[in-house]
Amino acid sequence: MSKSPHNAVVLGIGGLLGHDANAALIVDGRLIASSQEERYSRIKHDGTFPNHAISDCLSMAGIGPRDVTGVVFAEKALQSHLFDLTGRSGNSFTRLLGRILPENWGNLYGQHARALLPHANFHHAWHHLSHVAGAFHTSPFERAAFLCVDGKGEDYSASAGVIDHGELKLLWEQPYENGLGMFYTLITYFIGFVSFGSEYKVMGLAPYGEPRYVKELSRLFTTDEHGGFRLKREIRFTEQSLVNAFAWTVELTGFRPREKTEPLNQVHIDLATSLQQIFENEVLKMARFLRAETGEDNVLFCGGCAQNCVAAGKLRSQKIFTNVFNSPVGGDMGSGLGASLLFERERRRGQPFKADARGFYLGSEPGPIPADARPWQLEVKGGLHNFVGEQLATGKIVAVVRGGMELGARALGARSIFADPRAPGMQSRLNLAVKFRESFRPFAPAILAEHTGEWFDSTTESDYMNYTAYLRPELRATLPGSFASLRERLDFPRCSIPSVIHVDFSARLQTIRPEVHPDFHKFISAFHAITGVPILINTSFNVAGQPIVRTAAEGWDCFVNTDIDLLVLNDEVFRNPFQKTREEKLSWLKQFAKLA
Amino acid sequence: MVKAIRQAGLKITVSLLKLLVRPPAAGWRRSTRPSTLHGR
Repeated sequence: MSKSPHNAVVLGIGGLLGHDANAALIVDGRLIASSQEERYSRIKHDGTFPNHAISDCLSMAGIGPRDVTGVVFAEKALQSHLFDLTGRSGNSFTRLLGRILPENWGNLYGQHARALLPHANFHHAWHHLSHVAGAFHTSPFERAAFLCVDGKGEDYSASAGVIDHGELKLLWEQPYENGLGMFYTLITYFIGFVSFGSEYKVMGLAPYGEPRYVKELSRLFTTDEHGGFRLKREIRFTEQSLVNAFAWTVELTGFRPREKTEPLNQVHIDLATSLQQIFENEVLKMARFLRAETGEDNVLFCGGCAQNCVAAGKLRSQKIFTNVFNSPVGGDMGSGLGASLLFERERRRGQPFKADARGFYLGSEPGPIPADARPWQLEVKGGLHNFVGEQLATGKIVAVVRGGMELGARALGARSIFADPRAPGMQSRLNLAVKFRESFRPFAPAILAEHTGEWFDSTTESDYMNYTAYLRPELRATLPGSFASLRERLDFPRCSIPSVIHVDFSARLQTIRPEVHPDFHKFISAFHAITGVPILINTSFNVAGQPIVRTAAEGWDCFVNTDIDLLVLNDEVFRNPFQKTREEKLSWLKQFAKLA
Repeated sequence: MVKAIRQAGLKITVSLLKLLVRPPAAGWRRSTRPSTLHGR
């Protein structure tokens, strides 16, 4: 057997808690790759052992499974298992058991990993420490407080503390899984968004309503002045447990649950608004508590709840901390990355280091262009970026599959759909004919970072759609006092770039810097040179229920089944044959409908 | 046989845990959880 030329080949593996399985690879201290299993299995939020993601990470490093020296799981399987069995949160007794029993106990991932990686030592990280390390080592901070708010760690829902290069101190925690994240998930299910991970849809719905039902929803939980939050009923993170809690929710609030197929009415929308308001208030209370206790200027906001970029925006605008960083993979899709970084941190014994996340383009390249596409290839004149900029300026919708794939749920320009934010009706067109999703769903603006202050109330970097900002007041149209319907509110011409500005003038901002996302910067610059507008619509290249496309072949398949006009595969451009009938498209879409 | 003994052991452990460990009050509590990768 030949000896590996590497000293430390560390694989982080996340997803043991049942969803968003993922892997990350660090070789001799250098972050090589990270990706999610769903991109390979094509099952959204896939929680099965990430065989494909691991294999792709290893292949990007040019090594094999036998070269892996260490595996770090992003959860402590044993503690999680004990909690699931007993319903009691961790304590000195369960810690004692943790020392006696094998740490791999109850870890099905461990069995798969042992078969695949025969020479590796196994380690298990506390789930929230994985989140914290993932955020810290990809953040600009030298030291910071951290606030990790999650659906479920092993047996806790929130944790807080401080981290610098030398030390990580976990200071406080909120036990049990019936915390703030569970509350958001419960109401998300209750108002009919019953697919796993649909909380972001409710966040997008919230600006359409008024917070009329805060009082009613507040009957479901207890809280204190520091955001010490707990639902009054124990609920588990299973669909059955959530559905079982509906009758209790009806009893306490007086509302009835919405069926998935039932049209949204104003009560559902106002429930979403009320939920979001409660959520934001609780996060802000937690942050004030943390600031008072630690005195730190910087905060890392991480865990699944930190994916709520509206709350992250409020956390910034309230100035509780001077600086806020929330990772684009603050939820479980980045837990393997965090676990591997936690290992690397301890391997270096507190020596300062930051991981080069390379704009979070941490996945593999698109691969070969399918032969089916060749007849539809266009001649590109004047360079790729200029050509695409010209097409976008004429109202064309352009999809891009180019370079390393993004890690996480947010398209960052490598597996994206771009469009002109000025075009009237573009939001509906994209939602209904391209993404096949709810018409109310907003799109995010990607703006050249150097122009952010001319359009929005913030100039702080948001490389990864980290937070929401607001359109500058002088750029807003005067709105009527009321609207007859959600549709009318959505269609009202509220500004010159309506497709990326929500009805409350908020926007999930992505600021594009050439040093972070160079290729994307060139595309927007080309559009800007033609139109004078430094902004593009940027949305993930997929349809409702489908994981973001990974390869050139998947990109082509999605392209021909939607109304996207042009497709960039690597350095080449293709036009849509538009040969599929509506029936064929709908038939293709059905495979994803269950997870939409 | 071994499996049955393990199952029985598990049941006893779970019952003990339920009996001995009371749910803590809601809110932030000081963490006793180790802050390192290998702390159990």
